[in-house]
Amino acid sequence: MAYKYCTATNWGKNFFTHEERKQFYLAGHPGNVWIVDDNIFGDQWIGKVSGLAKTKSEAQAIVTGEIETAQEAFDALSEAEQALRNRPAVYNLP
Amino acid sequence: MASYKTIKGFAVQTLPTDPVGTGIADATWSSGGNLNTARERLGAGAVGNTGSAIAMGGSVSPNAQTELYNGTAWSEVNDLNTGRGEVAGTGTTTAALMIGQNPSTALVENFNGTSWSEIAEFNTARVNQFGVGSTTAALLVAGERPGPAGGFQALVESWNGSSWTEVGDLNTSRAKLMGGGTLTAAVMAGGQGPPNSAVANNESWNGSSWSEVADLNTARMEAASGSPSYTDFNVAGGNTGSVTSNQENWNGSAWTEIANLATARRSSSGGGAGGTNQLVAGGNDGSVTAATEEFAGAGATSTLKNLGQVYYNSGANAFKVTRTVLGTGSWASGGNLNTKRMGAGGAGIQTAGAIFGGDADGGSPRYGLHEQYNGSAWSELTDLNQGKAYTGGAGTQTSALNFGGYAPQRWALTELWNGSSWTELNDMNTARFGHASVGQVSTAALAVGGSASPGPNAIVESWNGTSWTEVGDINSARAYFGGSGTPSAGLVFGGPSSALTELWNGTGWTEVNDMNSNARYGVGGSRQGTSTDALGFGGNPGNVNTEIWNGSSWTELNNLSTPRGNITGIGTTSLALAVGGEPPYLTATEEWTLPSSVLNQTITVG
Repeated sequence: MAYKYCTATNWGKNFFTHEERKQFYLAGHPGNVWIVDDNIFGDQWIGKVSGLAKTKSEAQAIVTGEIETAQEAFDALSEAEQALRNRPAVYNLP
Repeated sequence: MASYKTIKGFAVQTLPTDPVGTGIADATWSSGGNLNTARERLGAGAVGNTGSAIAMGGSVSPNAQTELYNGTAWSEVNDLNTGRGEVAGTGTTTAALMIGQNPSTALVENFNGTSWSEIAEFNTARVNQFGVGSTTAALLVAGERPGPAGGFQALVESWNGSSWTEVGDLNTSRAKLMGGGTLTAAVMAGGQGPPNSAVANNESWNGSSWSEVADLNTARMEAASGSPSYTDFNVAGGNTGSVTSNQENWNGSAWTEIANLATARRSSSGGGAGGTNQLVAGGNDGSVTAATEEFAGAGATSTLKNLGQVYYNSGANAFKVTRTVLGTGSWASGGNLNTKRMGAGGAGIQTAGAIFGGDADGGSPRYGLHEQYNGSAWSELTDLNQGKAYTGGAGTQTSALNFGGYAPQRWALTELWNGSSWTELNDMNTARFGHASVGQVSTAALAVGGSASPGPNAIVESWNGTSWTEVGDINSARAYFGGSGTPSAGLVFGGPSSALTELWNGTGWTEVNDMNSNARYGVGGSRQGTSTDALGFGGNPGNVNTEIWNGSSWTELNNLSTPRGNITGIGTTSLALAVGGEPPYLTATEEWTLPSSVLNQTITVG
């Protein structure tokens, strides 16, 4: 499956709709990174949200950066606080 | 051969046809009696309903035919004095008006149940208007006039039984429109506007002026409509650029698509008595037609659907069952929280939700912030007395219970929101955080497991509106998991690296089938669900899976858009919210909608 990558700020209601979720793959990731199907529906949605196109590697770098920042915040917590949650883990985008 | 009753011990009802539902979604079209004269462009307006209607004038010479419908058949009565079509008509089989003739005359005729007579003309001659009301109180709306100075009109005139008076114009000029209502309260939808295309505009009349309200879903003109109600009527068929069978219902605030006509057509005679009573007669379905269709819900003699009933349909020669069938659920974005957080308590439903407490980005300070959701946006209200994270929640937006949490110690505190402030009530017996919450109301809840000293525990406490009492432990001690149901029939599920599901029957916990995914640290749950109908979604690490519980097993449905755990889940399996969560800390809300319908389905033996 081919995807397109972009950044866009989720403004809330109607940023993505039920109809759009049924039309095409859409997934959000840290750093306002969004992945959609590489088809007309995905293109239309990127246009709707004024998404800024990214390559996969650019999108991955943004997500990784966000997670590394979250890891730093986690590492700065007390041991008691760390025990309350998982340390965020870097992952690969599809 | 043994009978079914002998084998199973109970009788199965035999029905000649499937049972029907009572709502508009279950209403259907059936064929009615044909007009004696096939025609289109009849008097347009509120001209009756499925049990009694009048068809007047139209496109076929001498254009004066009048027919009355008795719910079964049309019968011819005396013709109009002056033949015509493409004008407004309104009234009943015993008292009706035919309004207008052609763009240059403003002829009006009155029908008294037997014959037509001319009465006072209206002020501005025009055609393709729409009429509602009676022979003593009517409203004549819009239309069109020929020539450069003519065109589409916004003019509206009122009739008081003796004369016509110009009243407030529509905001949007148009002709061939549709609507419902009376002289003093009406709604007019769609029609044809400049340059010559269908419009979706919808306007509401309060007796003195028009205001725009929600547009039709599909712009159209020449549809069948007409009802005494301005809050519950349909537009059926029409011309959208092509002839359509599509039908929409207006409920006073929004349009919903409902069952299509059997045959697409335009320029019919229409009438109705509300959303579940719509008549369409004549028109043009590619050629001029005499056909009538009646849209109706369950009648007085109908056998109504009974959820779960097994029956034998003798007409179809099939065993059937009436059951709830789920559609395709999905998550859409909702309004963002004002403050990003995770591990907050929650209460309420999708359109009236609440979250309170939660851990802000960075872990400190703890938050007592309280926000409420109205279906589109979050607003801040009075804080908890003691802010805390990984906290419990039950009840509704206006009567919410908060119990336990971490800040930065374990708390046993219980607080009640009464719609305006939080009040501390009796503490739990065991201080804890990360417990599962079970409870649809603020006076009956369970606090299940969670992290108590020295770690994850299995202790369960039941709240009776006044105090907490320990009840049976869960089988697997854990924290950061989800809950659904009530203190007499509850469900808990998930947790860190756990797919475990346990069912509470009011006296003990039983392990039942696991969730399909075990990445469920801080899973969200449909807090207003039940022990046999629950939703679980998300969880760390990085889980987007949504699963529905049917009382015996979990089934995967469509995913959240954003992976997250420590979500606050709110709502039911059909309408839920996933609020906040991490990592990173989120303000995002997603709204879950799972459509369902009650259908009669043939039982097959596989």
